[in-house]
Amino acid sequence: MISIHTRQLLSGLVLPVFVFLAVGIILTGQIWPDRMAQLRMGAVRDVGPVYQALLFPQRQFHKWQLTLQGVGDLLAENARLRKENRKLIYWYGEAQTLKQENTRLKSVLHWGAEGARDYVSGWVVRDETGPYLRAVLLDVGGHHVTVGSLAVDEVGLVGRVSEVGPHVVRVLLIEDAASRIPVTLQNSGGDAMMIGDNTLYPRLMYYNQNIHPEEGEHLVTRAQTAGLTGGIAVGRVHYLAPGQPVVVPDAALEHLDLVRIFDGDFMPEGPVSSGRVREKPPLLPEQHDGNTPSTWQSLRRFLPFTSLQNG
Amino acid sequence: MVMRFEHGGLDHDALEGARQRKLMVRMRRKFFPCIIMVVLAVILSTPFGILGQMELQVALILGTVWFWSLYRPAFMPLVGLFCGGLIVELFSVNPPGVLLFWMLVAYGVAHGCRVSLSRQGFLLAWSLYGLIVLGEALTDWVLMVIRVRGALSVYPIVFQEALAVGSYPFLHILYLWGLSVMEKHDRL
Repeated sequence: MISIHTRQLLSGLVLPVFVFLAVGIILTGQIWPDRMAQLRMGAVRDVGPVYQALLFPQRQFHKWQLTLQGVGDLLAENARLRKENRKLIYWYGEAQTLKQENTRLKSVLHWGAEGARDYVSGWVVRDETGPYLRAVLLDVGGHHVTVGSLAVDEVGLVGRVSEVGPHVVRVLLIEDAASRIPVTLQNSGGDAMMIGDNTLYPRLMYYNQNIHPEEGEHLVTRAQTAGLTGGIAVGRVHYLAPGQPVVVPDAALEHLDLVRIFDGDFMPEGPVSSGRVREKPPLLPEQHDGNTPSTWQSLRRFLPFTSLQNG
Repeated sequence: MVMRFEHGGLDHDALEGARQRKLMVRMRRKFFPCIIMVVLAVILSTPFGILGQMELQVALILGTVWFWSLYRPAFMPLVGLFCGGLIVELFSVNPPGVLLFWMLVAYGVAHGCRVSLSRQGFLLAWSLYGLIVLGEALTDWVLMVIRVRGALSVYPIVFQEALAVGSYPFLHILYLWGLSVMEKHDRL
């Protein structure tokens, strides 16, 4: 039988023990942040239907709002759509001509087949945007997504996948202070880094000091062998002050609904070409233990700049 | 005694009903603030796209713990607070454990200073709550600076503090009203 004094002493110890456990959780979260993120993603997956139910009135209201706006401005909207349609028809013709020209030029160069863009679309089930964090959680179902894949909305780059859980992935937005995206300046072809700082406009840094980014210049992601998809629209350059270029993102980051994730390491620049020869000899040393690496393994590090067939 | 119950069926039913009602009241008193905390965490983690939603989540959860620990500690058992805090952590965006730690600090401070705070009035309780929120925001800031390995703006701390301090009086009034309704209902 526990005495009253012992019971009082034990009850006085409960709070310090819980505080100690909370400090332990903080330390665990700092040492293994991925595990904590996995736990949170698991919770989001489980309460996904609750979120959908809570969002239903807001989405319905937004739909009705759009419908009412459309009804209220029907004549002007029709005129605008007709004008846009004429423009689209013109650009469709232009695109067809360019496509044919592109096919012809590729056949002249013996250009190999491009890898298919493998992507998955997912609804934003939770917005993790807080004071120091800019991230969203997406429900991608059973589709396999790798860490580092790029996420885009209908217009441009949104961020990169930072954690992958069962059914739910976490996308770190380009605004986040931990975000680092290598980009290419479209006019000059120079490279730079887009660095988030928890503001609406990520900074543009580490560009060639001889080729400064131009105001309004468009940026796309730079293809990398580390699995970064290249050629995705990012945004436009804007100078907040002389010598301080920032990126005005193309994507509507403030209200994300449906986000697409490009899985794999698709790179529009320099795909595998059947007509090209290897630029460098393999760097891997010859193995004399009888386990010679296959041609594929040896050449994998040079992809996509090396032809498999000619290796 | 048993015989009397058998002969008096109405008394037995009434007694059973009263016992169940008492149990319900006790359960409600034990878990009401903890359930409110979890519900607030889930609702405010839904992607509504409202400005300052996550800051409001922290403010309301800490405000809930502060109010009930200070004015009705019997409604906020420590074990319930800890378990509720663990669930809330799953729906928070702050570094793991920070909100739970400051919930426990709020509980400890409220318990330690309850008698003196009840004499001093609302303003001092409000100021102490502001300090607790400030501590939480500063801890978040420090941990994020370590994570990012670079200086971060301190404006989010100011924003969080302003939002929490500004929203607390409304939360206080709402909970006082809820408390009076609950107590009236329990007396009937």
